[in-house]
Amino acid sequence: MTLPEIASWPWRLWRRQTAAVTRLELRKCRRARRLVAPLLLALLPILIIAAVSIVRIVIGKPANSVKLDQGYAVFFQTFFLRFLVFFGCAAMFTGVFRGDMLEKTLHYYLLAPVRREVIASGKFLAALLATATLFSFSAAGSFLLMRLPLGRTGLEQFLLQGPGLGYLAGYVGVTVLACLGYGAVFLLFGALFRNPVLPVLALFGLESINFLLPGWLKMVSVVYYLQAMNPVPLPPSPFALMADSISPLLAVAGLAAFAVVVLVVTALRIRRMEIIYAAD
Amino acid sequence: MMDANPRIVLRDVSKFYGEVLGVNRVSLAVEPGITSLVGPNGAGKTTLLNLMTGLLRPTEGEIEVLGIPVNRPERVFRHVGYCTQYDAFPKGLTGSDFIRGFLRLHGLPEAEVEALTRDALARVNMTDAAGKKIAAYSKGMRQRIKLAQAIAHKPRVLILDEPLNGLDPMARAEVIAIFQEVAADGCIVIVSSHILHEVDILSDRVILMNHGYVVAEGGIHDVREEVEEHPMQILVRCDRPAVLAARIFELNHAVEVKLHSDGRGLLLRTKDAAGFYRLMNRIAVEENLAMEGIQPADDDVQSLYDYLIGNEGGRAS
Repeated sequence: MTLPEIASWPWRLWRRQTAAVTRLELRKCRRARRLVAPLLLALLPILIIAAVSIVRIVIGKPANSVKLDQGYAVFFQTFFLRFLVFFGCAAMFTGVFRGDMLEKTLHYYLLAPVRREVIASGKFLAALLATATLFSFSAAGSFLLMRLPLGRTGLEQFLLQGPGLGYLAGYVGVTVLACLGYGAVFLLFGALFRNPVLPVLALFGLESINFLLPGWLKMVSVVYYLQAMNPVPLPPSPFALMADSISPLLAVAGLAAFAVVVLVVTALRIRRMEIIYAAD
Repeated sequence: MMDANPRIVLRDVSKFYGEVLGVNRVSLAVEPGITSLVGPNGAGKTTLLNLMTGLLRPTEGEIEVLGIPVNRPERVFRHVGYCTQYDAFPKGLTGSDFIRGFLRLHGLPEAEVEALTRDALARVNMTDAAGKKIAAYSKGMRQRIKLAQAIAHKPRVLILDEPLNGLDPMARAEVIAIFQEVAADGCIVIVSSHILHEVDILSDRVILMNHGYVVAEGGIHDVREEVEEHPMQILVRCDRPAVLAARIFELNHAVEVKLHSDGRGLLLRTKDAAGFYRLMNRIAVEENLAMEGIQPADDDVQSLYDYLIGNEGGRAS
């Protein structure tokens, strides 16, 4: 395949078709059952942190900005990313093709004059937009609520004169990238497995013990790249096996490349997909 | 490249679901006009239609639609509309959203999408209900909106799996008129149906399937003539059927003659219908018979179904 050949492909048509698939998926998404779990999971940190902050205010516990930063970093990296975003993305992305198969509506896409790779891209993009939006609001909301005990002045100072805005942007960026990485993997699971629950749980196990994995194995996990981009790094676990540290820029590129590779594999799987609803 | 001779070609196509046979060694060439696909439940009709549209991949063999391999959806579905039997729709969409949304996948400009959506809704008489959610539609409305979606991009090949299900008689007549319009434009229309008397009215050709095999295919009359073990039945209405009956046995191939109870006609079974028609002309002139009508009594899809598939297949109406 030469570059002029690639340049002659109908990119403009594919872009329009991808946008059409995304638009249709987002419209469907509002009524889809698979949106319920991500929505509830995205609400959870807001509710938890709001409750904790209110309790702190009520009991008059003094707020320490550094401790709050550390506390949120632990919450974000251990619970928000590894549990909420992980399972939120699993619920959304594994259902991208499986959901249509179970609802017996996938054939409408497969009967359109669209390359199946374009369908996969459009559907992925819609699910990514939905999850990234939900969890970005969740990350931003919980981050700000965590600083509620600082009071209005303290919060303004933290955001406008301190590192607050940078942290906020960092957490939202990491959240979007987490949705990208996990989303690509779960899209593939949904296309490969009739029941993706076991593969999802296996991946959850692997991601949870990521710190124990050897360096080369760490590189094929999503959380490895996400950790490198966290605005407030956590001290490594005493049991952790050390791996080469990676710069945030390289982490973004690595995660994007990882997502592209997984998407290509998914697209190849979708090209061979058949409609046999009775079997589902 | 599109085929100069527009047709759907299947070469030695088989489909197995694991060990279970879907269709076996099917070779067909479907020409423009209306072709009916007839067979009992489980005969392989839907499998064959899904193979023709790439929703299934053949275990063996090749399929081309208008000269385009069916595994090239981006090309083939510019020309093909498929109204499946699945009564399912993407959630939360109105009738017009449904048609518009999938038309956008063609990459057409928005103005054209809108014009085609309006036109398709008007053709199936659904303009008034277009703004309602599909979930609130009746079965007949859902059938019509599915049909509208299949014809919206003005396909040259229209494939319909049980399209008359759930339609009241008025809607059936309207829908059949649409099939006939599409076929009159030189398009290929394939209709799978259990409603044999309606299949009979609308189709030029028939494909009879049973147990995954194509039992017969071709023009209804041609297929009927090939069914030699069942002599052709011909109904003759005239003023003196007894005279006619006596002379009919000049024809060697006459198998049986039954006089009609009203004394104004007879039913003949013959292995040589063409020979009978020639003899009939001569007898009518020689005996000075007043002929009221001559028509084949079993030259239709229902009879072909009965003779070639019989009761083993189950439901057919």
